[in-house]
Amino acid sequence: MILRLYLPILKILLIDRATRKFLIGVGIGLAFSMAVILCALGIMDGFDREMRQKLRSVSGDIQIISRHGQLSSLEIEKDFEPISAMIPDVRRTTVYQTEAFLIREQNSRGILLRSVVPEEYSNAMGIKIELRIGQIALGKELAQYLGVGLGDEVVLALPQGQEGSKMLPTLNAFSVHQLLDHGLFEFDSRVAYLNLDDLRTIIGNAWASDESLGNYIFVTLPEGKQAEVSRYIEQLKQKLPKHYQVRPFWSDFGVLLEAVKIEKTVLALVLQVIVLVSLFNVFGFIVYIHEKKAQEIFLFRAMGLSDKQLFILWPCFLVTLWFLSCLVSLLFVQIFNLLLHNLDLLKVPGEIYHLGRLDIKLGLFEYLLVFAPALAQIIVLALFGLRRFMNRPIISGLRMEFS
Amino acid sequence: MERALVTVKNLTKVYATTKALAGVNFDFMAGTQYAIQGASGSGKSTLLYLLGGLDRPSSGSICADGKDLADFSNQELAVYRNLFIGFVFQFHFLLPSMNCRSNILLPALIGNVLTPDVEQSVLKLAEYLEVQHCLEKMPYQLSGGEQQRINLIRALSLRPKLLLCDEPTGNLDSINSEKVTLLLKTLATQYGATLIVVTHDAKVASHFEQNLWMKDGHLFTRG
Repeated sequence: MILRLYLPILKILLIDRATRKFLIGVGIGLAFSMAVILCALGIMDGFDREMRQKLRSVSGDIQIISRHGQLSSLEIEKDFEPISAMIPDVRRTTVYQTEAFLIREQNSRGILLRSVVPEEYSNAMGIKIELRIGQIALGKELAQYLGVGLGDEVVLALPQGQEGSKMLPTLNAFSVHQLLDHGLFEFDSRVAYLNLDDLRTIIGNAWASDESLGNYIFVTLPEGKQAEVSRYIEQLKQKLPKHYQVRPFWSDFGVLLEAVKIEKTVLALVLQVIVLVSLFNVFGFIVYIHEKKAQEIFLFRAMGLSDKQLFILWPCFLVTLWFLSCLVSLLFVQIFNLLLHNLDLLKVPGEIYHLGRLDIKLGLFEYLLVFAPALAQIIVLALFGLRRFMNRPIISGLRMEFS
Repeated sequence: MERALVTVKNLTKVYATTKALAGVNFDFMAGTQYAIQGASGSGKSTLLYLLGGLDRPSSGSICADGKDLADFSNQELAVYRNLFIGFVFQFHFLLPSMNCRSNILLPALIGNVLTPDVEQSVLKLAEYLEVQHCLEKMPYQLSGGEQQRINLIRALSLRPKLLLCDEPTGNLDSINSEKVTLLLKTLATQYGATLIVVTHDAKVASHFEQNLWMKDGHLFTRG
């Protein structure tokens, strides 16, 4: 019954244009302030997710390193048998990852060289690597820096070993066969891929044995299991011999991601000030309604509108304002996201951050973090406003407002 | 046999240090028309507001249709104001932001009893009071007499059992004053409502068979 009064009374309260305009202004102000917080949180979440997603594509879900250095096929077979049993459909690849130097005419750069078995690597990491003997694949940004394109020749400088004269570099020319885009600026500006057989040929003498397959193992979990990375890491740590170091894919950027998480929480709290400022507008609207619509409200009460009805209707009006503001704020967020995707002005400089384009990603927690405090504050304001009507006897209110 | 519609016993109302009502006892009989006179500050309006459930007494009781208002919750008191009482104030209390039709239908809207029957009866009453042409107008476009008649239609729109009027002719000239008084009496009779009019105008009071006096918070009958 009370809600049947909702629309007619709302219509009476908003009958004049000034009130409607004021209300729209207040609603947009509230929506905008909530959108600002949502965008800030969304960008941070987007950064976090994007970073994790890209990191997965370059490191799998789990990285395993042996403290003994290189891993032989025999060793891998023996030690890693339990992984397949523990996680069905798991994919893994062994990579020889080392530092090297890449030279092209006057340009050169220190790089991260990954020597892989192309088919196995492609299958495990989901990025297609096609390399035959004498070919090299470069990260997109690295190729741009060196000024090379497909088919061009680059020179790779590698140490022949780790002791004495073997540390002197050996120089070998390779043809650029692929340019790869991992979506991580820093990685794309440093990485190069080589066929493992090429590496064996170049530094064959330095290998412990011909059975050696690499020094890193990247493990990719089956679809749907990615959220359980931490749990699998704990299990692997227990099952694998102690000389293995097991790390999540984000370990290299762990501090950065943790900082983003902390910043997000702090920012959400600090930015509540913006909502608070816009709530002053809501408060202003409540005061305005009290001044402009007190006649109506006291007359409604004289004619039979009960305190209970008023107690429900008045907060309902403000909750409606909050709800509509929330919807409008979502629209603002979408608009900002669109601009973020399309305006060069909003492109994050690659030299500062690792990702080219950011995306706003919001989850239930972020929405709650923004919308719930605003709702709570609005309800407090509504109750505060009601007090004024409730405390004054109807007849004195009528006399005062109509005199 | 006449029965009491409203019974007032030992009714007092104290505002801070002022005793507005100092123990009023009276039976207002169903269908009867009363005029209450008294000097300013004698407590006559206070009595009216307490009868109308607009305020709560300091002590004593008001029984309407056999039910003590003190036992009513705020919600029940609101329903009592909506359905049992019709108010006509000195100031018309018409909302300036709404046209007269919407003003008249407010009690029905609030009481959630806005039916075509109510709208029809309101229209008939407007025709009877010759203000049907005012229904779509805003209150400020009406003369004082028209405003008071619109106010009267609103008070009677839900056929209340008790019609309470606080100086209904206070803002009208003598001709309009007499017209409104006679209208009130006629309509109260037609609707079978008990009519209580508070006035300081002896001429208005002279139209009523039951004249009461308020003095220093006490109610006296007058032959």
